[in-house]
Amino acid sequence: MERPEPEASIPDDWTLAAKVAEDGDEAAFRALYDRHTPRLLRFALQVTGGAGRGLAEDVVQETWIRAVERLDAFERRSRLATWLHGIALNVAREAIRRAADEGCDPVEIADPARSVDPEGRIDLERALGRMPEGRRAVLVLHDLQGYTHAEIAETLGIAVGTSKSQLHDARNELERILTGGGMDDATR
Amino acid sequence: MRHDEPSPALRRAYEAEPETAEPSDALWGRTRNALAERGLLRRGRPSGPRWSVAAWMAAASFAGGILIGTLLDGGAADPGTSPEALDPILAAERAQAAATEYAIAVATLVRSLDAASAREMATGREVVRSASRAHAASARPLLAGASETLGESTAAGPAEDPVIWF
Repeated sequence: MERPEPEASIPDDWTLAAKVAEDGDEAAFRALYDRHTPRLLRFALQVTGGAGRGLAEDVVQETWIRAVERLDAFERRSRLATWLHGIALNVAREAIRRAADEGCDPVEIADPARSVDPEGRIDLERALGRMPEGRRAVLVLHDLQGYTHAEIAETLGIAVGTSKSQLHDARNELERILTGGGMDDATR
Repeated sequence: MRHDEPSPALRRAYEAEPETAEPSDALWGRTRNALAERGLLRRGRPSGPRWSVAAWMAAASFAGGILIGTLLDGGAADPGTSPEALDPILAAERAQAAATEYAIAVATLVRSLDAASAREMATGREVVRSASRAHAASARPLLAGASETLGESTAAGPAEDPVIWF
């Protein structure tokens, strides 16, 4: 005898997103928030280059605001997580530029004690903060978030070839920083 | 190793990097509030800790009223043999009424907890504070008068300074 398919007990992202967009349903939003925020926050920490949880949480908050504002206009062409990461990347870049315009380096205001281990090695997020913003974004998206070059090109508005060459340069630079070779140049 | 793959050193660094980060409780609160202020989110019924606070407030208020009533009624239960005993009874009734009003004021706050926004909470709390001060001002001399006749314990009830409950 054929058994009926068990009813899915966990709503998918788009069912929840529809409830938020149409009814402002807080429970649905909470479910989305709980599902995506831990990864989104790690991503924000990476793309802000270890500038601290405060800035990263600001990025995540603004990301959710923009996402909910645009939910009803969003087409289901991509995964919600990918879409959220794209928004977070833009928000983070704006925050970094704003900090630069105001004359402060968000990486410098981070607590340096948490970024270097007892042997003097720098942690990954802080090392990312020593890299130019464009390279950092490509490396985080490709190596840490698993984006393809085509997706990166679309997200950042660059050519696929540019994404590939920036990734190559970014890896070399990151390895130099992580092993201590690039610290002096990068931090001065 | 393929040329498009990260080096072993980078791979180790990537593997040591956690995939997630635990957001603070405050982040949820401010994100929800920001969305609600923009009209993008309808707040649900309060749940969890907020109901606990509301329940605690209601219970404390009820207990306060009972305490005052018990203390005063207990003292007045012995009608005594002198005509002066009538005064503390009257005082007890009036203090009991003040305690009841106080309980109603607390109920106002509990209702404001339903509304749940920080601004409404502050308004509700101020309503109760004002009412409490007024009740305290009117109840205090009555309780003091009753205290003289009924004993020291009467003046130690919550109506002596209900404001401290908040």
